[in-house]
Amino acid sequence: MILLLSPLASACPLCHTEIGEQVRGKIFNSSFPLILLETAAPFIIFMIIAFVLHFGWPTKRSMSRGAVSRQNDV
Amino acid sequence: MTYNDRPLISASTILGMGMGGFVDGILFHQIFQLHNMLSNRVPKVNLVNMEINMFWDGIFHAFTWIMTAIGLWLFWRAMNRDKVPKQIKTFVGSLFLGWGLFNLIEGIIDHYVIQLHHVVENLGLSIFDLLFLASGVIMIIVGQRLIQAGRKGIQKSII
Repeated sequence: MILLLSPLASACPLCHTEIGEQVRGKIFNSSFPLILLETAAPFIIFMIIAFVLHFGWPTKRSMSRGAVSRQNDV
Repeated sequence: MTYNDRPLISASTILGMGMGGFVDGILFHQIFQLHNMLSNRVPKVNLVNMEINMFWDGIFHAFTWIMTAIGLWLFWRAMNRDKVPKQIKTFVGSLFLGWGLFNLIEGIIDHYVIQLHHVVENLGLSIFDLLFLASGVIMIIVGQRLIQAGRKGIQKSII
């Protein structure tokens, strides 16, 4: 009964409600770029690691250590 | 003939990072709700704060999805190269390597350095954060061993 009588609390970032406004205000403010960068930080490092795994360290590219080679054709 | 397993390793490692990211996001952030992206800074004590955390969880998942998509694209390219060996141990090992790297790097950056959240937010920085890092190290070791086994398999097949 209490649940039925309580006001609905629409709070999505796109909702045009009081709570929705609060959510938007606390997400899209001056700290947004910094938090976005902080959230992206591990992923930037992941991509650098993937680059190194694929190409090797930039200075050692030519060495291509990952190649398993044989002089004669199989 | 020259073989190059680097494209398979890099593609599968990115896929492993993506899979690890989804396990972290789906299992810990959503199903267990032990922590959310900004839960150390924006505690989940009311609806507004929960919505804010949910938004940043979504951004985290978006980055994870992009990384997985890149991994899939690189994997497709790798599989279409003649010089890339189709070695299951290399593939599975790289998946483990990626997942382990995810836990280790995400754990160090988000849990320890920036402290956006912890594994069990109510406890703050706890033994569970350390176990999260340890799981990463173990998976990296398992992955490396499997990749090495894969390379030996390739060498045997061409001798």
